[in-house]
Amino acid sequence: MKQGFRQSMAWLHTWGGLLCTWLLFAVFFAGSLSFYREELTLWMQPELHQAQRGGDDGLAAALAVLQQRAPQARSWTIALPGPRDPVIEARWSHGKFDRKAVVVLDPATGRALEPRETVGGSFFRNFHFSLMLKRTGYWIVGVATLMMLVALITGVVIHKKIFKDFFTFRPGKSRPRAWLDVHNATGVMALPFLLTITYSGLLTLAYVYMPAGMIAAGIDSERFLGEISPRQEPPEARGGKPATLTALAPLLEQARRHWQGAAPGSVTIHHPGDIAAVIDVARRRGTGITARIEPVMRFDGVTGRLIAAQEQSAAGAVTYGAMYGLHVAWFAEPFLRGLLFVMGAMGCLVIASGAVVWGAKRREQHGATHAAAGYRAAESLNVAGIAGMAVATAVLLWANRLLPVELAERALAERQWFFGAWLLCLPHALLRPRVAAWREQLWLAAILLALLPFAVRFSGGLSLPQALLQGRGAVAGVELAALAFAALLAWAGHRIASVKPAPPRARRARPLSEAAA
Amino acid sequence: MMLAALMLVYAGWMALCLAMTRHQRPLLQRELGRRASALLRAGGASLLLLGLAAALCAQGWQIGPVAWVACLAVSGIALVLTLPYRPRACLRFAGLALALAPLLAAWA
Repeated sequence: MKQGFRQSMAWLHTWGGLLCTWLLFAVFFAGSLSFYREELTLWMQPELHQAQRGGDDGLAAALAVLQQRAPQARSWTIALPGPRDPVIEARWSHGKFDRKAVVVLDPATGRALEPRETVGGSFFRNFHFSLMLKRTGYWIVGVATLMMLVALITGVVIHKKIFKDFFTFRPGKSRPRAWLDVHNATGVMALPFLLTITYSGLLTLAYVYMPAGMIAAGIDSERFLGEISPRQEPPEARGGKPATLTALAPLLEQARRHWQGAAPGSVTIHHPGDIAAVIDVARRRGTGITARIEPVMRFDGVTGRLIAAQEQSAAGAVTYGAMYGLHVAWFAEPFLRGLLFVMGAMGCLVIASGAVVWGAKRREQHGATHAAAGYRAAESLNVAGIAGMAVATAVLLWANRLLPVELAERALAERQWFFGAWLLCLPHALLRPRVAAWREQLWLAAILLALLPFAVRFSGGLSLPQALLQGRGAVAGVELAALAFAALLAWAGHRIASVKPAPPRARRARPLSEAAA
Repeated sequence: MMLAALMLVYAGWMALCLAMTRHQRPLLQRELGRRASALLRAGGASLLLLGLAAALCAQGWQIGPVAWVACLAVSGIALVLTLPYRPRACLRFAGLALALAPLLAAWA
């Protein structure tokens, strides 16, 4: 290449970025929503809205249910309620994981609840790293993530006036200039976040992308992950003699003291009702910055004697746990979680504004009437990839409220509504003029989100005023956020609608590489 | 305490912004001398560091730095995107933030 270093970097930034724009936007969008995975899951299960913590947090009720439903199970696991998850979950296992072997209880009353089958907030989490395509998806997202890292670094290289333009935003200037200011300012302000989330995102799946070390050590990914998560060895065989299980509450208290006040998150009882019963108490996740390496304490199930308290994870596991923890942010309390969500939205804004700058520059160079098929297709993909994502999300939330509860494969149906709506946005964007396509999709999403608080009529659960009065932050928060986004999208649609197409410039615009700098 | 960190960082960004000749006219209707600009730059940097201290107090050494970076990004973009529309309001808010920060720190 004959050009200088900076110009080739500008080329890489522009075209490499463009190639991955739509995918990266979807990943950042769904990833940002994943910061509120548990809140979304709760909102999507109106049957659980009334659940409340209290008393022994439903421990006795959970044990009674397990005793009644699965007295012969190999193990019982009780997931305790936490600050973001109000219900208690009792699972049992006969050796293999069974999705259906679970009872959800209201911790305050001990009553069994029957939540609807739903994709829950986990949908966004799973979608953002797998696109629901399993391993193929991991690789597609991995390549795009690598491109994001390249775009961040080339972006810093080609941004000549990174300090001089630090606070610069000139909405009065030409469209591409103003959007480039937004792109630059957001990118610079969020750079530490963007670098961290991109790099740690790659690392969370490093065992998929770079398995050489594992292969050399002769282990598979399951074993690798098993060695990272601290686990007590599987307990000895059943004793064969029945015995009464020791009381759980004192063990939980002992564990809490041992972890200097950090709460236990789950209790696993191996061989319940047997003389050889063993109880593992795991610390609640999100106590420190690390994730996936929560320590486990093991007790004798009959005497309650402490058998082992696993303390330190290996350095490699802690490193992985810290990078993983930075990515998933289980440590974040509500205020910090909000800031993280805003930073995720800034990531979306960087990507979306980059796409808008690209389109605006093309139009500036070639005139508003220019309609080469390639540019037209790219612009339509911008609309469907950005505004369409909002439409699809709103449709998914509505599907969650409207689909009959007794529908078979209900979660799958919700997913199909999401992807169906998203797919339909593409032909719409291709068929309608550019500005009209933006406006209609933004407004459609705005209307769907604005009406979302009324969906409670079809599903039961807490309405927005009830949730506010009873102080149910998660339920109220999701609906208030929907209203806020509705306002934002409506405003964006209005702004786009009021834009007059710029007359084509007389002189040829500067080359992109120069203008981008 | 986290709110105090956010306020300190916002005020810090504003001081750094005021230290730049380009932003002085729309914000102050005049240009500051070299000395005043240097003082503002030092003050702004100190406020950002004070914000780090507040974040560390609130969240500890593991999570505090993450919280600080989050404050930097969120208050920074809020400042940049509103500055051209309401420069005076941004300035007033920065003053208010600076005044509120110690109260917020003492309160929580």
